[in-house]
Amino acid sequence: METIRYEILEKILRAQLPALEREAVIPQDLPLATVGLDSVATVVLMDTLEDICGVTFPDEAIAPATFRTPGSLWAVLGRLASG
Amino acid sequence: MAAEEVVLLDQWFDRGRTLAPGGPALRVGRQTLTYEELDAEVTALAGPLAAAGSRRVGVLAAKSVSAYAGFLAALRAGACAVPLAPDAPPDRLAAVAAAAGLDAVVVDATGAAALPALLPGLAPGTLLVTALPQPADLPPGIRLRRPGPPGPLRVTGRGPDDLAYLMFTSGSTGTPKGVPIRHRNISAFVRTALERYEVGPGDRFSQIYELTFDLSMSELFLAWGSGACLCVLNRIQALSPARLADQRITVWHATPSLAASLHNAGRLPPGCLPDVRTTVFCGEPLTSGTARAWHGAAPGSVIDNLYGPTEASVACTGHVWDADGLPDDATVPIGREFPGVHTLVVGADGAPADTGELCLRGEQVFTGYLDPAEDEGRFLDHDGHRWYRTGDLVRRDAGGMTHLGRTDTQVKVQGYRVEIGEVSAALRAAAPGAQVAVLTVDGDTGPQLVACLMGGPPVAQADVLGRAARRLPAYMLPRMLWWLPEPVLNANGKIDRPLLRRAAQRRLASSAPSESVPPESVPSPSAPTPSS
Repeated sequence: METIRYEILEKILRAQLPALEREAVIPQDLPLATVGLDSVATVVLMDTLEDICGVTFPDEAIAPATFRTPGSLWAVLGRLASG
Repeated sequence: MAAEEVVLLDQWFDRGRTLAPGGPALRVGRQTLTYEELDAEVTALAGPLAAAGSRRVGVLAAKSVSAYAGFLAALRAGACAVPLAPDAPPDRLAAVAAAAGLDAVVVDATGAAALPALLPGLAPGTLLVTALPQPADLPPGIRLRRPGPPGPLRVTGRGPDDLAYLMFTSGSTGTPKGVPIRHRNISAFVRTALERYEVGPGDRFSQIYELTFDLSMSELFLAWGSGACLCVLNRIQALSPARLADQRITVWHATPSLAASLHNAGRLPPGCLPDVRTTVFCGEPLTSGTARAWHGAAPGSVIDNLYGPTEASVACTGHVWDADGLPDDATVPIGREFPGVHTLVVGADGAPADTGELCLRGEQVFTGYLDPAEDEGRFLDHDGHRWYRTGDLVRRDAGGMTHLGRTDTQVKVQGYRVEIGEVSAALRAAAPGAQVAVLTVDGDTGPQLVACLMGGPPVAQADVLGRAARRLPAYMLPRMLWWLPEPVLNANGKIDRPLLRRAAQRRLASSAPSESVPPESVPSPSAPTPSS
């Protein structure tokens, strides 16, 4: 299940970041700024994740550090789901 | 203290304390500090700086109490403040620290993570002032000091010609250039701007821009100079105003691209900013369409369009927008010069003209770059005065001035100054053997950087930008980069930039980011769990 769900995060990221290679796995430590995730794309991504995952980002999670890499985002989503 | 008596930048904070005793001065996260509480933080940090006689104080901190207190403490100690962004690329951080000649650095928790990158740029004997635990690997010669007890300082001999801050902007040769601003320069701006707006105790200013971007000086010192509260927002919160209703921001500083981004993403619905009374646009050209959209969202707000380079202390001309009937893509005028600022427009032949390059002199204008070599070609002698050549093309008519573009290859990306030459130099270093073309293409919210690498071994965007990110801040990284085996040349044997620009537009259009996710990828309602 976990693998499938990381793939879903990858799909969501791919849908928003045209620079991501179509086929390759997205490494968890890839700095998202290097594939075009600017501030505006970040806000769109946050709204998309809230819609799809049914979570709400609290104030303290609405920070650049959350969206630095797929891994950092993955970790915050996990905390939101369990908390 | 009356506004005309204030000459030192930090005295604007003292004035706010007089206007709003016991009132809120700073809100960071869930924490609010009164003027007195923030002042205690300032004197605690200023004590060790003053005792050591520090002259150039780096502030390696972001959006924390220590960041604001540290900036004020540097001034209070009689030093020049040098803001340093903890998320700046490591090579850039060390280069800026060395160029600035820092003798002390105030460090907050975010800054501590960037300290290893900064250390190579620090001279022996440099003072680190921080309340954090001892950083593990301080090289010999770097001295650690704790904030002292709050209390009055004895610093004498300060004057309006002392440097207040040093900021670094993009340099066309590939290295950032330092702009020294004196207390008299920036205080003249604050005084003029406070006269333009009806602000005072009870107002709540947004604080969005990093201290390394001089628009932040307007946010800080207009808030404190009027006895208002400064409300700190990170760049993601700034793009989600609907989530900020409880902050009741009354004064917004915004770059036009921030407002355009909100508008294009459907995040600026009519009436969504009911508390806003004053909006200050600055940093890049404002279009009539963006001003209208903002007016719809914040119908109770005055909209002021300011213009000015960092070299003239934030802004030196302004135009209060009125509901004009101009088309959406028309540029809102930048208006008339502020009191004490003189303007001169010169044509290509160097003679005064109605349309041409804007030159500036006066109380707000700096006297020259940190590195005098950078002054070459940037000043004009005319009528017995020395004028700063802005590189901005303007048209002057009865209604004031309108910005037309640049005389060089500087562009504005999300309000940041970017020299195409600096981006090219970093990409060449990151992809040896390739020819590099850095271009701008028009996006929904203003110019976007793209780059084409030609020749040399094949490269992938993430690899090249990952290496370039050691030197370039995120806003200078191209949004898209692609590689071609051979250079694309025109009939004259030069890189065919128009053709590459069309190719970039096609690539961006064919892979446009979509807000919708394909239906087969929609997961069950439960959220994912991290695998680690």
